[in-house]
Amino acid sequence: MKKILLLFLPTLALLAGCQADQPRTPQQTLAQTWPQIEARGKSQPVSMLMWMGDPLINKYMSTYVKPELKRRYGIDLQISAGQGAGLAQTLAAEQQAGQPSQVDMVWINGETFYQLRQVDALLGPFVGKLPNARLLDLQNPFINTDFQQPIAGMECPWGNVQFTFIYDSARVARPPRTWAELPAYVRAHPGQFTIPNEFTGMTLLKSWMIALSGDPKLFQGKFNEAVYKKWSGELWKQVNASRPYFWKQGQTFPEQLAPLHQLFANGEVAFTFSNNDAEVDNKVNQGVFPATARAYVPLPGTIRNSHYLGIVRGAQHPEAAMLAINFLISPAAQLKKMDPNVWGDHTVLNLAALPPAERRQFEQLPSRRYAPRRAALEGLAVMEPDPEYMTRLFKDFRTYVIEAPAH
Amino acid sequence: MLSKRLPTRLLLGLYALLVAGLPLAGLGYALLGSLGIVGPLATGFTARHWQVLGTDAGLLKAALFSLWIAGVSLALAVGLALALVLGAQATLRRRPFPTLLYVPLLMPSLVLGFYLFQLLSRAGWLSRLSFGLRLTRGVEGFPELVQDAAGAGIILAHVLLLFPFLTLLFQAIYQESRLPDYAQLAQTLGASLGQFRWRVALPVLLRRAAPTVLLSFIATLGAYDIPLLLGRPYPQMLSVYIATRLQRFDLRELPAAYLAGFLVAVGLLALILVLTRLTRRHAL
Repeated sequence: MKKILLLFLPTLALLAGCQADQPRTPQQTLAQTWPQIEARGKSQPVSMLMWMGDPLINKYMSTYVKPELKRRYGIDLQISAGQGAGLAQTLAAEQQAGQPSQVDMVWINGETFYQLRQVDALLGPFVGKLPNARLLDLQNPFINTDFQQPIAGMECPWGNVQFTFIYDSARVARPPRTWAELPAYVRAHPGQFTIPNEFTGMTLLKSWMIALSGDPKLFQGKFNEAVYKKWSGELWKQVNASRPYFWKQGQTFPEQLAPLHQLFANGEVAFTFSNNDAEVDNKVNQGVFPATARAYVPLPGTIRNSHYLGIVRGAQHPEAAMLAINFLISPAAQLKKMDPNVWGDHTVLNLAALPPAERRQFEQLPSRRYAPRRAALEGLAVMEPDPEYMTRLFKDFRTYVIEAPAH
Repeated sequence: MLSKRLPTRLLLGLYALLVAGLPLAGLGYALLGSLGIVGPLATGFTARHWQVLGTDAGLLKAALFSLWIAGVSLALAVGLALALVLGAQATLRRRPFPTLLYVPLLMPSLVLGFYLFQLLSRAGWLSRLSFGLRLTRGVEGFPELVQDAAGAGIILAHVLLLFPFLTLLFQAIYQESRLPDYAQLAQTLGASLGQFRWRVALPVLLRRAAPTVLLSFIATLGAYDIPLLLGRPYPQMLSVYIATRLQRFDLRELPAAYLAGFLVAVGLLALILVLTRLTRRHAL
């Protein structure tokens, strides 16, 4: 009898541990005033899921943001890797199980935003409750809209970036200045170019497809099957015509951006890409890229988009997450992030809304040396299309290019 | 008496639940997911994802590629191991060779994959050495040994993992079955060493090692770390293919991934049953 009882004790302890406090409803959380949120959010842990593929971004978070949140609010920020579909599946599974989430904050972009809203995994609207929200440049369509979806306060803008080509000027005397020149350039310089089969590569393909159409307005609004079929068809024609001249004769493509960056650093390819127009500066400063690396935007332009922070609907510390996000869009945090030696991520703040002293600090940041100036990119930015274009391109890139026999 | 038996039975029941029950529950969930009954965006019963199987050759290609990799890897590893055990007994007994055979067993497959990538890729150590010795003129001149069409890098990695293990296995069976004594007896009766190897040693070693060799084949078939590092996005080995589908941007693709996972699991179980029956029929 004693033995049987001993066997059941761990089970009883386990069951007791599962009894958690009933979480407050999202409505109750969002009904609080900022002082109430501040009082409730202080000295709480906050778990954040984000892409952790860049050491400088990781360093900004662990050596600047984390200590600042601890100092200002006593918040213990805990960062884990998570993004994209895996993130959406994790949060959806937690929702289905009806249990509080292990995650409070998430770093997301348009297609993940789309997925998370489909499974109703986000808390909000919350942006309007943040004191620093008044500083956001919410009149800017590249910031207030995420892959053709109005953010509607459900995610908070964090940074604004534009897709760029990065090339090694020691090996490439004259890079293709326009999308139209790209196929001829690739044929004339075999082995220098390839397409990563991931998010950044999809931004390349989207930009290329939109350039082929000659009319970015075709891709505004909801997904249009006819537009997609016509212009993705043209895109695959161009990609497959150029494919024999890609790296490894187009028989394989890098599956992640980091291996492509490594190929570029090793000199195996002459081009890599970034969704952040300033990334080349920090990679050269780190010594990851050769000092001869340069970045530019092919004409008539590439996709510019923003990236955002969301709060999980089932978050256990939503108030602390709001405090953290409010800090992340503060002038101090945005200024630090925009420094090319830190991250180079462009601010989402409306500089005109800042006090003059703070505005000057942004304007006086050390200049980019290898990346194009933001001013030079005016007129070269294209809106992100509906997320369906990316999911379809990703699937079709595999069907029509990766899995198709090479000619 | 009853009180002593009950905990044992309870523990065995829990163990059975863990070993068989949970995997079967997972299989059931994957099946239901593939039919659209469960999952984040489930909309109710549909056979759509099963019907698409007829046109989507990806899973079949992955299966064939995996069979190729596992078959060649195992054949090479078994061949090498047998050659050593039957042809180099004196060397195998001499220090430090027994110890050296244990060293690769300590190496996780991910580490071996990474090591081979650093060694064999076009920007890897051998390529740089070759460039330095002027044997090649640049990265393009070095042969494609990883991320190649035939999976040479993947095969090499698996041979390096399997061969020491199989050598140790065959050597243990060789000693345990007293084959040296049989060798002496056979030669006394007039057989040549070659005849002994082919007619006595080889059948004994293979038959007694068959279950373990079978498991090695199945494990190689389901490999993930090494093909992820050393393979291409197409064709992919089965585990990489399934993981890729699970990680698609679109949650609506999940049922197709559940279906692929379900079919692969069922396929591997069926393969184990068939091969186990085959080996048992010829068992001593």
